[in-house]
Amino acid sequence: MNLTQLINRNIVDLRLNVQNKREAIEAMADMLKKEGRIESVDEFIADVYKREELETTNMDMGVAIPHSQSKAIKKSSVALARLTNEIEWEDYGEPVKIIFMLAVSPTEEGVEHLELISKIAELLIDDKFRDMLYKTINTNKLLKRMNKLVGG
Amino acid sequence: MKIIALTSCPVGMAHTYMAAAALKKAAKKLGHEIKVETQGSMGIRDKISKEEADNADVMILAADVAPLEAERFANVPKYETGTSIAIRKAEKIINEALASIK
Repeated sequence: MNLTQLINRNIVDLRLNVQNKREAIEAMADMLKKEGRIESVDEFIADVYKREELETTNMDMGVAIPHSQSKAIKKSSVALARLTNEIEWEDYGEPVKIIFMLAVSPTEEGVEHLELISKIAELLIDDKFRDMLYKTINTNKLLKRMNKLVGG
Repeated sequence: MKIIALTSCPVGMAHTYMAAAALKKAAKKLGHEIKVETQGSMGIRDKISKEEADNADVMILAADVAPLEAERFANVPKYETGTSIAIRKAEKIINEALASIK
C-alpha cells in the first residue's frame, strides 16, 4: 500500500473557506462522501466529535487532526484542508490553518494503512513538513512531496 | 543521559506517534539518548526490554491509557505526563524528567 490509496487530490482542498470547526469538519466529510469513502456523513461526523470530546485534536501548531475509526468509513482515508482563513478550534488553543482528517476503516485488515497514518502524524512534528504544507500552492505537487516523505 | 519513554493514547492513531516524534526530536536537540516505545493502533512498536529499562536514567511515561506490560519498568524512576503535553512541550518534559531524578 502507498499513500495514494489513502489520499488523492479529490479529498484535498488547499483553499477551503469556512468560518468554524463545524463547517470545516462538514466540508471535509462531504469530500469523503463524494469520493465514496464514507457511507453516512452524519454518523461519521458524530464519531469524529466523540473523539473531539475526549480531548481536542488541535495540536497548537496551526494543525488539527480530527480522527475516527467510525463504522461509517468504507475505505481508510486522509483528507487534507488548508483554510483560507484561520479558525478557532475550541474557545482555547491556537488558531488552526491546516486540517488532517484521519479516517480509518475499523474492518480494514493489516497495519499498512495505520503505518502510513502514523508516519504522517510523526511528520507533523517536523517544522519543515509543516512549512511545506503551508507554502505549496499546487495540490499535485504537495501530494507528491508528501508521498516522498512518507516513503510510500 | 539515557532516557526511555512510552507513549499511548485512546485511539492510538495520531497522538501516540506525534508524542514519540516530539520526544525524539527534543532529546536529540538536548543531546540525550532516547528510545521511545509506542503502544497504539499497531500494537507495541520499538519495544523496550527490561534490560534497557534497567539501564535507563529515567522513564517518561506519556501514556493517556494504562501501559501494557508495565512490569518491565519496575526499576526505573518515572516521570508521568500525557501525550498532549509531550507534543507541545517535549523539551520542557525532558528537562523536568531529568531534574526529577537529581
